[in-house]
Amino acid sequence: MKKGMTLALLTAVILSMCFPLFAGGNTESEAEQKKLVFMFPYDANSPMTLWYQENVELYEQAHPDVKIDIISSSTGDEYLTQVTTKMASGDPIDLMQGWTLARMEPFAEAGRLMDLVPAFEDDPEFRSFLQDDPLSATTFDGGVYGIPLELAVEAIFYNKAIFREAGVDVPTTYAEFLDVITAVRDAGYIPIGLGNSEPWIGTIPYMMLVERIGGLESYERTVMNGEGSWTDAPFVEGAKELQRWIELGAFEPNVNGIPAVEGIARFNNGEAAMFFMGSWSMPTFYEELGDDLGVFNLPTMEDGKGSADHWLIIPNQALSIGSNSKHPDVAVDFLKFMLSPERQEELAKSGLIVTTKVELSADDINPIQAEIIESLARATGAMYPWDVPMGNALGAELNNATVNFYDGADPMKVLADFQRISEMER
Amino acid sequence: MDKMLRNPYTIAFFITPAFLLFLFVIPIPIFQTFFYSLTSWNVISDPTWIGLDNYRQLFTQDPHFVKALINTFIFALGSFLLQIPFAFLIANLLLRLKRFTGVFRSIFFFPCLLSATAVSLLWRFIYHPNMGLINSALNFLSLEGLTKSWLSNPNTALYAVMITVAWQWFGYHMVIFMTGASSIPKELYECADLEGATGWQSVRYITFPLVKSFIKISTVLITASSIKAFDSIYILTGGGPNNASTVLALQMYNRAFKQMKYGYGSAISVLLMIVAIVIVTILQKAIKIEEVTY
Repeated sequence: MKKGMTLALLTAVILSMCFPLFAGGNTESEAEQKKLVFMFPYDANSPMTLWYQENVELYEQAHPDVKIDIISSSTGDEYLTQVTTKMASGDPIDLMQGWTLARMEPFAEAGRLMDLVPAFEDDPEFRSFLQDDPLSATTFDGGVYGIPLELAVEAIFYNKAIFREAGVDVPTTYAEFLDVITAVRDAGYIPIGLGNSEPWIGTIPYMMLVERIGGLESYERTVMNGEGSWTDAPFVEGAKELQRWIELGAFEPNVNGIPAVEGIARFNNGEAAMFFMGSWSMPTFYEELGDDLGVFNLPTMEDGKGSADHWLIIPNQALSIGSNSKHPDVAVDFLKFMLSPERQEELAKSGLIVTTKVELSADDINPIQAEIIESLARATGAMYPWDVPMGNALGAELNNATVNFYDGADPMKVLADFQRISEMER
Repeated sequence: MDKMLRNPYTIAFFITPAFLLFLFVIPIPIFQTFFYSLTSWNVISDPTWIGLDNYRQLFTQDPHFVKALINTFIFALGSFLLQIPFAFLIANLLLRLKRFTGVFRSIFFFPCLLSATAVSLLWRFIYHPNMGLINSALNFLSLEGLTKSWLSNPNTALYAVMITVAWQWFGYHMVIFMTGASSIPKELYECADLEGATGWQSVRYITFPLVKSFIKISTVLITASSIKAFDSIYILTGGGPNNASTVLALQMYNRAFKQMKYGYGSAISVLLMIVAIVIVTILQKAIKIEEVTY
């Protein structure tokens, strides 16, 4: 009896250790079907997520021999970890949404993304449908490693109703802008909503100010080429102007401790008159404020070198094809499907500013979107939001540094510290 | 059955699955971390061997390393000072209660059962500069001068996090001390009473020496977990206004996962491990427990 029990026990243990072996999927029946893996961030609030899901459904319907596996379960930093982990494990990724500029560079350099230039050469009509400028954000060493889907603009959104109540109009000069701040504050509203617990948001006004003072020249020299210093006059003056806004009562007290979502809520609830933000949030603002929503760029400063026609633009959310894709031709076909006029029109209708030359009628898009597109057409210059071309490490340091301006720190000291850090990180 | 269980081969056989699991989850990744700390690796390319360059950069060039190291020590020391004396005090008070001891013990122990994330989010609202409980209370008491932006002021950020963690965990140590103190025979206290000892004296001369070994356990536990503290700090301040409340674990996370510098992050984690081992060893040696018997 004892021996029998021992044997039974041992057999049970061995069998239970073997169960994982049966967990592998069946791979024979899919020889006919082509399977594509498509990775993109999951953001419940983003129209992009819905649009992607629609794309997959429509493409699968039109091509019954293709099955697209969606991997979409994280966003932000977690999505970065998800992508890098999948790449490191060697599993094929056919299509993925990724980043642009310095955030895409490591992937391009590591050979993880397919160069799209041959696909462009094969299909000039497709290439001509894409705008040229956004592609420069995904071009490295002559190869194009992705196609940005969104042209995001960082500008000043404002609440028309509050402006009317305060008796002010959209400022056309910088002096008028300062008057707007005072008038709105006197009317009992928060002039500029800001939740600086995510420091990149507080950096937006600073970038605009520096540009108005020093022009695109100072941006090119210091931010992009590293020839100038962060202690150059425009950067110090820009910080001092920002602190002048704080003295005028432009922001809520303790703005550094306020959560980002709260800052946004203040604007959406009609408590704050202006909000410096990217156009990806515009659909939500439009939903909340409707016709009361307006947008403008920081006015030109009289003795400054910059201009209100210079915009903060970032081509974003780039679609790439993985270099280890098992079905590159199908992946390219799906990519072209997503960038076709019909699908692009759908994307534009959701409020995003697209990077293709799609024709839009005035009924399709909301008036703010139309205004931004029109302003971009008139733009005479552009700069990227600085933290993106500066890379993850230095960009984060920049955002952390500007937090100090809101605390009343001495700009020269903060910028001198940051100059040292930027030299180290190089 | 007995014979079978005494057979060393059978024992080895039954231990093997758990041992393999342990091997692959703990020692092997630790050795891999050592290896990766000597490379430069962004996880999507192959690691490049750079020797001790990561460590050299950490000690000589990293602008936040020293701050992170100092903050880690402050956090560990502060956590100890906030939690252990307070837990000991409450444990003693609760042991003197005639009724409702169980109720109070459950109340004080309850926060440990909550997730650190939930507690941190809760305290984020409490610390809110304009609408939070603390500043609202200070305003109500006409003490507006004392209000601060607790989590975004570089001077208070780290201490605010320490208080949150202390709030959550002091109940755990309190229960440990209560368990230890409840095994002290009542006759000792009665004798001391008869000889005219005050409450404070009986704590100092009876409770404290006999609970010393439990206090030592708690100290080691608190120190080890504070040195690697991450979640509360990440959620409450994210490293604080411009890295004012950053600690080594946060630096490791930022470098590795946000900046894709896995080699550098591994170097920081190796250093964190060494710091933890050194401190816990020092603690073990320094706190001498002589067995006290009455």
